Amino acid sequence: MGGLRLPLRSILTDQILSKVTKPTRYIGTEWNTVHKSWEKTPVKMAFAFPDLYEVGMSHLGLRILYGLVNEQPDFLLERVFAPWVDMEEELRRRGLPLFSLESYAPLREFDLIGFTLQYEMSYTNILNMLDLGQIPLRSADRTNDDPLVIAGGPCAFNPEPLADFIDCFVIGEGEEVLLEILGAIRELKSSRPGRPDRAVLLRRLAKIPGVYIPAFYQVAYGENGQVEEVKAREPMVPPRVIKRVIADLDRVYFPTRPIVPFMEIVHDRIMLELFRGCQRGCRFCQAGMIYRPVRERSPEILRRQAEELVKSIGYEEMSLTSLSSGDYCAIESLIKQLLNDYEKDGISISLPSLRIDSFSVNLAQEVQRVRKSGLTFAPEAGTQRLRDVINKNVTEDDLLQATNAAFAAGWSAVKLYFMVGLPTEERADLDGIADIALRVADLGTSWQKRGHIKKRIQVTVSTSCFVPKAHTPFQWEGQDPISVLQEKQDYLRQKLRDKRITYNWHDPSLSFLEAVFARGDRRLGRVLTAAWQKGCKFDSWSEHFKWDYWMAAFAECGLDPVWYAQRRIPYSERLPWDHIDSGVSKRYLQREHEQALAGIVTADCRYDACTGCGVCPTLEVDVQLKGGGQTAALSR
Amino acid sequence: MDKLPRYRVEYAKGQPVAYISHLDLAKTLERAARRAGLPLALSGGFNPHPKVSFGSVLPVGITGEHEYLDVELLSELPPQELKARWQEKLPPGLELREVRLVPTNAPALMSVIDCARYHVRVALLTSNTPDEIQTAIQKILAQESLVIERDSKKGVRQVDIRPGILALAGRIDNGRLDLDMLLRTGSQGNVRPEEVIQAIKHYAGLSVQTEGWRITRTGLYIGADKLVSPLELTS
Ligand code: SF4
Repeated sequence: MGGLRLPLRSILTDQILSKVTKPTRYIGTEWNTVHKSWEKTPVKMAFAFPDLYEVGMSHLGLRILYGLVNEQPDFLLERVFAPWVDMEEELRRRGLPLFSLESYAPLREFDLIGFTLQYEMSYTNILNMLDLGQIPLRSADRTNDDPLVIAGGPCAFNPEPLADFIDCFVIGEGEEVLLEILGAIRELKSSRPGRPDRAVLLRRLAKIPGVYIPAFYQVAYGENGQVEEVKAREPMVPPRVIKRVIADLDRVYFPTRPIVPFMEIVHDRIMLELFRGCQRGCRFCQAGMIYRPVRERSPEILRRQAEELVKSIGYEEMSLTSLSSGDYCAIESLIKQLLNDYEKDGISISLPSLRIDSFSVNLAQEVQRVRKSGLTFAPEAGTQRLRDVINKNVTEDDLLQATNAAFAAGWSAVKLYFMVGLPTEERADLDGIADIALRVADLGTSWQKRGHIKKRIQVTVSTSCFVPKAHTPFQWEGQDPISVLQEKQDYLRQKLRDKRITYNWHDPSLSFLEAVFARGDRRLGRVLTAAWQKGCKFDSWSEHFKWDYWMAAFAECGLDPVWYAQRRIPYSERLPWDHIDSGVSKRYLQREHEQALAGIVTADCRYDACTGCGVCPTLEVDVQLKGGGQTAALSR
Repeated sequence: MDKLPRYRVEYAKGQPVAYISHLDLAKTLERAARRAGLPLALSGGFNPHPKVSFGSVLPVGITGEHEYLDVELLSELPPQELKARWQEKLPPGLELREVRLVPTNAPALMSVIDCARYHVRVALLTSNTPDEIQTAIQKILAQESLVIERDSKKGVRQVDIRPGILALAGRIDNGRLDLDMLLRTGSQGNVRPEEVIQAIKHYAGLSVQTEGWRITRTGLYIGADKLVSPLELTS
C-alpha cells in the first residue's frame, strides 16, 4: 500500500487539474493545512464531507475536528470532499481512486473514514464517494482490509436510512467522542500488524458511550409496515444510545488556526462560536432539540480566540455564529469590544442569524459600523396564531420595529424567511406572509423618502417547505402533499407581485424526499442504493436532481415514499429512531405537540424557569450563561 | 497628505498554486499580508481593501517565475523586512524574490508592461530531427501573418498573431518540444503561448500532444527592444 500516492499527485497536476472546473478545490496546500507523516502516524482518518469543497470548507465541525485530531501525535486527519462531476469523470476514466487533499492518499488506505451528515439530500453522495474510494458500499461486505466507515452530525439522530452503509454512528458532539474511537483503533493496531479485526473493533467501539453500531440491532416490522421492535443482538450493546454532550464550552478544544481556502467558499470568514444549543423551542426545529442545553462561551475566551484567529487567518470578516447569536448574553458589549479591537484593521463583524426579538435598535446602530450586508429575519409564519403553534415567540410588532430600526440605520435590503405547510396552516396564514412582506417594504419606502436610504429597497421573501424531523414536537405530523405545497407557493407568488419584493421558494419535491429520509427506517437503504445506481448524486443541486430516478427506485424496492413523508404517526407507534436518545424526553415532545395544536406557547428556559425537557437531568449538564446577566432585558 | 510608501514586489507563482485564479491569488497575498501584520494602506468605502495592484494577469495553470505587484503601506518598512515577514505567511508555491521601494509617482505596472517571455514544453506525436524543428520555426517566423482562432465572449474570432510574436526559438529534447517565446502582452495586443502552438501545428505541420503542456512565464518586460524588467525600471 502507499505506492499510489506520489503518482496520484503528479497525474493530477500534470494531466487533470487543467481540465476540470475550479481546480482549486483539489489542491490541498492551503494555509494552515496539516501535512503529517503518513508512514509515522499510526492512525489515519479521512474526514469526508459529502458535498463540494466550498460547502464543506464552510462547516465549523470540520474546522474543529481537523484541528483537534491533528494536534494528537498519533493520529492524522485529512480532508476529502465530493468531487464535482467533471473530476469524477476524469478519475473514473483513468481508474483512479478518490483521494485525500493533504497526502493525495487513496481513500481506502485510511483506517477510518468519517462522514458528516448535515442534510438528508447528501446521502447519495456518500455512496458515490465510497464507490469512488473503492470501498464496499455495504457495511456487511467490508473485510479487515477495508477502512472503518463512521458518521456523525445532526442527521445521525435518525441514522436508520444509512444503517446498511455506515459501520458506526456517533450520536452527539463529535469532539467528545472521536478521540476515544481513534484511541481504540490505535490500541488494536498496536497489538497486531495491519488493520484491526473488524468484529473485534466493532465490539470494542460499542462500549464507548454515544456510539451506535446498527449491525448489532435487529429491526422487526409490523403488519402495516411500521417499526415494531428494535432489539439489541448482542448482550453488550445498550438498548438506547445516549447523546454525548460537552459540559463546558470554555474547556473544550477550539481551533484557532483553521485552514484558509484559496477559493471563495460559502462562509468565507472567521467564525467565532458564541454558544451551542438554543432553548427557544421552535417546534419544527431539530437543531433546537438535539443541541440542548444552551452552553455559552465566556466573553474573555471569545476575545482571546478572536485575537488568535485574526493573526492566523488574515480574513477581512468575522462572523459571530450560533443558532441564534443575538441571544448571547453579552452580545452588545461583545460586539463593541470586537469592533474596537479590529475596526482599524479593516475587519468587519457580522451576525449571521438574528432573532427578531433580540435585535434592538441599539444593536442595529452598533452593527451599523459593521459590514452592510443584507439583514435576515425569520418570522417563519405569517400570523400570530400560527407563530404560537410553532412556538416562535415573536410578534409582528417585534418584526416591524426591528426592520424599521434596520432601515433607519441605512440598510436597504432585508431578507425574510417563512415556512409553508406548517401544521394547522390556513389561507389566512399565507395572506399574513404577504402582508408582512408588504408592510416591511412600505417601511423601507418611507425611510427612502426621508432620504435615509439611497439604494433600491429590496425585500427578499424565502419560503421553505415544512419537513417533519425526528426528535422534534412535530415528528408525528405529516407533510403536505407536493401539489398542495405547490399551490401554496403559487398563491404567494401571485400575492407578492411588487417591484420591491423578490420571492424565492424551495422545490417541494426535494422537501418531500427530505421528509422521507428524515423519518425513514432501515429499509430505505435499498432505495438509496437503487437511486445511486441510476445516477442520483448531488441531489440538492437542482441541475442534478433526478425525480424520476428516485420514484423508480422507490417502486423497485416496493416502498411508498408518501407513507413515509405524509403520514401522521400515532403517538402509540414506535418510531424508527426511538433507540437514539437526545436527552430530550419523548413525553416532553408529545406535550409540546399537544400544546402546539392547542395554540399554547412554551417559554424559554434561558430566561424563565426550566420547562422540563429532560435534557439537563438526563445528561447531567446545565444551561450555562456566561455572558453576564445584563442582556436578559434585551429580549423583552 | 503625504504620499504613502509604495513597494514593488517580484514574486514567483509555482505549483500547485498555479491553479488558483488571479482573484484568489490577490486574496491569498492580502490575507498573508494581514497575517504578517503588515501596515497595509486601505482604500476608503464600506468594504475597505488593501491597495495592491498587479502587473499582468497570469492565466490559470501557468506558472510564473518573475511576476510583479505594487503595494502601498501606511508606514515605511525596510524592503528586506517586508519581504521576510510576508514570505513567512505565504502558502507553498508562492515565493517573493525581491522587494524595492519605488517612487510614489511611478506609472502603474499594468500600463507599462508590454511583453512577456514564456517557456513551453509539449510532447511531440511524431519523431522529428532537430533540423526539422528549426525549419518549422523558421517557417513560422517567415510568415507575414499567422491567423488562429481565439475564443472570446463574442464567440470564435480569427486573429493574426504574427505581429505579437517578438521572438521564437526551440529545440527537441527527449521527444518533447521545448519552446522559448517572447510575446506581446497588455493593451497593445496580447498573444497567448497556446496560440503560438496552435500556429505551429497549423502552419508548420508539427504534430503535438493536446494535453499535459507545461507553460511557464519566465519574465515580464517593458519595451520589447530593451527588455527592461519592472524592477530595473525603479532604479
Ligand atoms: S431540562 Fe430544563 S433547563 Fe435544561 S434545557 Fe430542558 S428545559 Fe432547559
